[in-house]
Amino acid sequence: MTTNESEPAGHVEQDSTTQPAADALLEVASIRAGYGPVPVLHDVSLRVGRGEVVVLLGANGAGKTTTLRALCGVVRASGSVRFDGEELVGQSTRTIARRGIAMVPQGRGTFKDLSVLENLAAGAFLRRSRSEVAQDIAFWLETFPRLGERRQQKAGTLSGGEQQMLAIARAMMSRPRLLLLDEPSLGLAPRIVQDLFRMLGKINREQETSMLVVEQSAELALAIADRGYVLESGNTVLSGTAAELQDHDGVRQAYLGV
Amino acid sequence: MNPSTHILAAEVSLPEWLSTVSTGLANGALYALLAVALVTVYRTTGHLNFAQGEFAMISAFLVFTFVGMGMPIWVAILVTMVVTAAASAALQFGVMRPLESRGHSASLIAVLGMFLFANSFAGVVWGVDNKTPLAPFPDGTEDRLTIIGGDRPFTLSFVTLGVWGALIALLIVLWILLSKTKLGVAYRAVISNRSSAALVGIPVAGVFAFGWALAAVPGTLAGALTSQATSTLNFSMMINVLIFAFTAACVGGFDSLVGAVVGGLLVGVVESVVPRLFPAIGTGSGLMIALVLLLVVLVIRPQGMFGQKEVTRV
Repeated sequence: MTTNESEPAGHVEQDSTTQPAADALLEVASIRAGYGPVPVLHDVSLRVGRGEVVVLLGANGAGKTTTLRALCGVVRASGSVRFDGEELVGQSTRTIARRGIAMVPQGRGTFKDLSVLENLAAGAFLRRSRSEVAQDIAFWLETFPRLGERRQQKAGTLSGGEQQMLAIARAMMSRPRLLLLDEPSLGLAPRIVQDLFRMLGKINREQETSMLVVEQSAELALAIADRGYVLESGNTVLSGTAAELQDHDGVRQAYLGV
Repeated sequence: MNPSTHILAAEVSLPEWLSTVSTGLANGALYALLAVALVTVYRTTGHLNFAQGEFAMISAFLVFTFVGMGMPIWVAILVTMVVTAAASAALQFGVMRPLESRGHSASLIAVLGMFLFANSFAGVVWGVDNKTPLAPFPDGTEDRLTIIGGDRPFTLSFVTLGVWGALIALLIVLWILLSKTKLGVAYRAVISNRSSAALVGIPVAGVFAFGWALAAVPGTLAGALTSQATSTLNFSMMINVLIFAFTAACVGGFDSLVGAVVGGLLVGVVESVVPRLFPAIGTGSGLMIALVLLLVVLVIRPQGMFGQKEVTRV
């Protein structure tokens, strides 16, 4: 557990993780980003190792969503984002998607006028092999049976939980190596949120997809996470293993409501 | 004298009714074609492209020129579709896209500029006199299909049948393109949610240009078939059709292709049936009737018959 107040963010990492830096799938070093002239991120550094689930905690307005948007190229950033050794800063959303990063945006972002099947097909837009895509569609409809039952229905007619499942399945259709999830539990009933995180844990184990999750329900997110970071006013101020964060007084008070 | 005999048509036979309705449906199919072009552009980028009628007029002239070069007319129509589709995509990419950040009025003025430019361009290139109208379908006096024979016959011209056939063929092609192909699904994904479409790697700017290009297909059909149906080929031939098509799109709902078709047919039928029902109105008042219909729809259901209530669309 380290607190990043005086030292540069890069040092924080090495103290608190077991994996060597070279093996990181995603290595974010001091990125700055914002909307127009207004900076939102000042100094965000974090790492996601191969197969890891990393959770990003922070108050409203801390820059969690902006961090994810910067990573997938929706918001322009400066600094360095290395994904599997390749620099992503300055790349288009499309290129970043092609490299293997998929995003489940806040509020699900399903294609409401398209059927469940079409949503999944659109998720595989960058893939070429029709037969592999068809296999994956079948796989995800089996994994989420509710979606299977509603495969011909327009996404806009699904419930919130079903839409969230669809958004995740759609993102997985690109066979990403890293899945970014922005507040997946937002607006869902507690029982559905539990199912959701169980599914995410299962996807992480079985598909070996690394995940970076922004989440308000810190407890559930930490339960499936390996490590986590705390963001404050556009800076990463704290990092540690999930267990360390769960025991940290500041985190407990601010995000776990204990 | 009973005043109602003045206002209501005294006695109209069944074949006369059938021919009134079929005339309406034939005109309506032309409005529907242009309305489909308008709606396609609107759904894609949110622009009301009222230069669409002038594009269709230029298409008709291009077909005329290609035919003059010796092409069979349907080949000329297909070639024109490709040429105007490419030009529309270029306009979207080169003119409308750079203006996107400048707000609504900038693109409105750009569209107005396209309207005026297209109109003058046709005048300069092809002159202001009427040219020989196009004839995609056989239109001799004998080229008719008899539905009811006898003293009071009801027949349909091959042109009318052809216009309906073209509309149906277009709808089938559009349906296959939009729901069965990867490009079509990507296009609808962009319309449904731009930012999510970008996230899954769909090239949004390219899809916008594709949407504008797609509108050139019904647009070219509208131009070529209007030329034959109205026996005109000049620089102002599409102005009236545009107003009816615009009405049709509003009646049907600007974000619905089905609405554009139903709206077009409805406007055509109303335009031709109402003067029959009420001879006092006179047959030359089609435009007024269409605008009254538009007013009624806008008051009762502002989003159109098939339109969805849009909360914000900028």
